[in-house]
Amino acid sequence: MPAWLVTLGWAVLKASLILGFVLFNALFLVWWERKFAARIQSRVGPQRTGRPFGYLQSMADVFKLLSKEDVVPARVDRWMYVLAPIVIFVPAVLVYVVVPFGPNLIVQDLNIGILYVAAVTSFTMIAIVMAGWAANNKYSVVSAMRAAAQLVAYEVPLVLAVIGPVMLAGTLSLQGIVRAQEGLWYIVVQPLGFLVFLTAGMAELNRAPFDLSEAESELVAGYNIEYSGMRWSFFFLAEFSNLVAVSAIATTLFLGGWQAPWFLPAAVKGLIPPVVWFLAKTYFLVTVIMWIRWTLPRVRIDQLLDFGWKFLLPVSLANIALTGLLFPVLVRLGWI
Amino acid sequence: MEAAVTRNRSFRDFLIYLYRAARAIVLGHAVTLKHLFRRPVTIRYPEEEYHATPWHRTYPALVIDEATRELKCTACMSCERACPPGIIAIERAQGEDKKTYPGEFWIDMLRCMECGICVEVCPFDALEMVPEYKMTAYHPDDGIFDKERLAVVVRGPKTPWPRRKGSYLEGGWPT
Repeated sequence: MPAWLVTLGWAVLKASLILGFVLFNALFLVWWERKFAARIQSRVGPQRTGRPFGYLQSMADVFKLLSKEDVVPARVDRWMYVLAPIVIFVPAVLVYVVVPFGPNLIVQDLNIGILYVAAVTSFTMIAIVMAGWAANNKYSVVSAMRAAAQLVAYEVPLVLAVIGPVMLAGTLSLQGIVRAQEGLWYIVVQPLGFLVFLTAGMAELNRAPFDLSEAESELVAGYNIEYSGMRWSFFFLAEFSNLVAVSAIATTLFLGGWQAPWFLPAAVKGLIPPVVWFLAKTYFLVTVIMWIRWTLPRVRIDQLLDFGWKFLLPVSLANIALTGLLFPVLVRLGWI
Repeated sequence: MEAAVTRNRSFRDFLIYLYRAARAIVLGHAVTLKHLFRRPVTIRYPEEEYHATPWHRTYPALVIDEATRELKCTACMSCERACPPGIIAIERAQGEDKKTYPGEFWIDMLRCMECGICVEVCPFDALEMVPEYKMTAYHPDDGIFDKERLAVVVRGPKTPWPRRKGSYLEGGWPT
């Protein structure tokens, strides 16, 4: 077999696996979020489609979305309108290229992994502005503007929060950062960084309490207001894909990725495969983010920007300074 | 009260503000976590039933006198005149003893707003709001209740509110 065919085969296999993972996640998390939200509100959630727990609810949603008419409103900017769902979905999948699911289970361990993540995820903003502008709807434009302001504001603390683990591990490669956490997870030495990352990550996800760009009570639906059927579901897929991606990156940076908890004895560590650890931690973080969503009310736009620029940014800078100051101490203690 | 965000805040105020915000956020999450592990209050209707209390006032029904086993209604038409949506239709009939009684009595339950005015105006206490709530039908005609469907025996004085721990539902909380 020629070498290029082997490369192509591997590429197609990896891409299909990642796509499958993303789609499965969306199916599972839609159901999970609905059940979770329902229980928080003392309801039962979906239960009739697929008994006992309504586990086929997402499949029913998929068939509904697939069978819907593909409506393109008359006065939209056609090219941008058609392209926006693709532009938002592609980066959401591309992030998974560098996510280390296990010691060898990674598409490509880039040596600038975390930089790549920051670069790829910022495409989301372009897609949102495209969708908002193209739809030729005042609500969607307002939503897109809000999303732009919000994403620019929170991209900065997000990247600055990432610098802490990078400093400790001495590498930008996600796999390298995970390996460096064998002795101790970075959440122990970087609690501030973790909180900043989670908060800014939630803002990047446009998730409550930072869901200003899709504030249904103010803006009808947000930037995806004119979309329906399969095009709309691409936004939805991207949202859930990004949710898992942020959780996965947070797991990688702060919760030791696929490493078992450091305090467990070696015999116990060997029992559970690394990929299970990774997925368990990721879904735990996803659930925490959902928990936050169903607890806190939405912030105002001025509060949002104040919080991003005047609080998170200084805190993340302080975190970097603290990390630098404590670095020799941690090395002396043998923690890193 | 949380202090409003003002411009000239001292650093101490800021720290207090921060502490309060953090405390509120943590407490809020504790509340939602508590609710997460509580039993849902939803009653899954066709499988589980809502046990309405005897004094639950859902729709008007014709009262049968327990002694005579006859309808108390004398077809005086007060309710027909008072009904705001005008959905009560009565055909007055007269017995051999010259007493009037409703030959036919219809209420269009599809349009009934369950206001209870017919019950209020009835001079003979011949109408009563009853706890029955299963009124679904497969055909609109079945939503128009006739005399037979409306006739119920209202038994004695209504029992007091059951103060049993854990429920306002006679059957207890759904599982």
